[in-house]
Amino acid sequence: MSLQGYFDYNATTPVCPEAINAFVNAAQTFGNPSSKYGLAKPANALISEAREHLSRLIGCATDEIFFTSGGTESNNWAIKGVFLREFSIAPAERVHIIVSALEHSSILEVVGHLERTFHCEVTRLNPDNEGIISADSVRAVLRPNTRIVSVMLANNEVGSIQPIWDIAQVLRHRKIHFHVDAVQAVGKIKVDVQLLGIDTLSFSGHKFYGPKGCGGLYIRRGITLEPLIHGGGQERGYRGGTEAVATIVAMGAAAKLANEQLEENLNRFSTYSALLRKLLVQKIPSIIFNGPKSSSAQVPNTVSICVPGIRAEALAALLDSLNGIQVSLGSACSNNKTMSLSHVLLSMGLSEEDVKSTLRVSLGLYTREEDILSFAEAVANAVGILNRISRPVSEDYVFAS
Amino acid sequence: MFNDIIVQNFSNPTHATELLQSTDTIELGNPVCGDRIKVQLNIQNGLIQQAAYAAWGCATSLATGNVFCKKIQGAAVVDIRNLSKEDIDKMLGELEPAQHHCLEMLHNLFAKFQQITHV
Repeated sequence: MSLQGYFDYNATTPVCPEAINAFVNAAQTFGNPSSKYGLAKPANALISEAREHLSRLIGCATDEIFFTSGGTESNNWAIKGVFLREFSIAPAERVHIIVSALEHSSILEVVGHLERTFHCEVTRLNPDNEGIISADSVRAVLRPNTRIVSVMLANNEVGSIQPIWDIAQVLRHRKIHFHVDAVQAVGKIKVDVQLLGIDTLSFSGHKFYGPKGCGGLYIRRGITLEPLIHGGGQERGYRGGTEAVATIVAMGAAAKLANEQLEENLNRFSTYSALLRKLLVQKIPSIIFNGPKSSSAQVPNTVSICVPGIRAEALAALLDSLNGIQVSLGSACSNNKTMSLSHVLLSMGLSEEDVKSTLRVSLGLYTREEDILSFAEAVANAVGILNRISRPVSEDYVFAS
Repeated sequence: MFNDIIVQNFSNPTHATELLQSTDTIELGNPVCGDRIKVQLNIQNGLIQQAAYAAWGCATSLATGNVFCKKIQGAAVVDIRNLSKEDIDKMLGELEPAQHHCLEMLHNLFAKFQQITHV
């Protein structure tokens, strides 16, 4: 399998060999962890070990980690679980929820559902033009009935890192639950829940070289929330369903590796991303980089680029067909009647034209320096082709067949 | 994913050029997605001698311009006017739902061709 052309690590990552080996070994342990006899012990021990790896990765106690099917379930659980807790205490109160407009659909769709079904009040907070939600902007929209605030740690499209600690200080002592979707941060940047001062945090295994279908929710000690999936008492009664032992163990192995390599990877991605920006500016002077201007406010593996006048969908298609390069887009044709534009980029104030001209490049464990060089060359070539199609120079010019 | 016809035509757009002398121009755009195509024609004695296009849009739109020009260049006006809806439907190959707006654009290009060549 060649990963030379893969520049979409924020969408998903390949499962690392350590996780695959851990999966294969754990799959041979078939005992149900909930059983009380000896056969269940190895499975329980493996899950405990995985829980330890995850707790070390995000800086919490093992009993604060709850395994789920992934980031979407974790986000659903955090928001609905807190809402149901509040609803059961004071059913007559209208709950106010604040979410950043940068959030993943697994947050935005949930609050939309609560708004429609339970008449919750929802404030969707736009970031600044660098994709940052400030603590002051959160403070400005607080209401006496605000019960939940949800702000992602790192944005998937532009890589902006949010000032979570500052926001947590605003919410402290106000009895407001602070949920953080850290799916794009865990395993990529240093995440320490103690330093963030938050109540719940979501993560997903396939974003840090673990398998798909596995993730988790950190729930700070002392915080209660209603289960999303009721059942047989697994995960200390908070999440029903027999544990996906092999998948959890594989995610644990990936978490261990991510923790061990975090510093080294951060340095490498910073170097590569700086190189990529430099090369792209040299080859395409009109290029614009979306997101934070300061590198300290950005996940180093993510680069959001806009080539004005070029439709990114066509650029991505050319990169794929000519160079076998895969990237992600800020917009796409949905059907004859609608155009799907990135809500993240729009919330940052980008024009529709710029959103249509934006693509996301995300680097990962298997990206090499030579891949960066090839990528920049391929983008310059494709932009040249598209410029010629949109502005043909003379009737003598015909593309080589 | 794009079919082979679309890939071939957007990655190797043989008719993406500008005619210095043309007899007719067809322009159209899709107000929803913003795609635009401009086709220049050089028609002499009932024969389409040259067809060239410029386009801005998604890959399928870029391919659509080229497919249209490739089809009509060198053909008699009357033959192009006689193409059926079914003939045109087949020109872009099998499309995904999100790409169907380009078939609509292709039909519009032929419809505009009908208008400008109407006697």
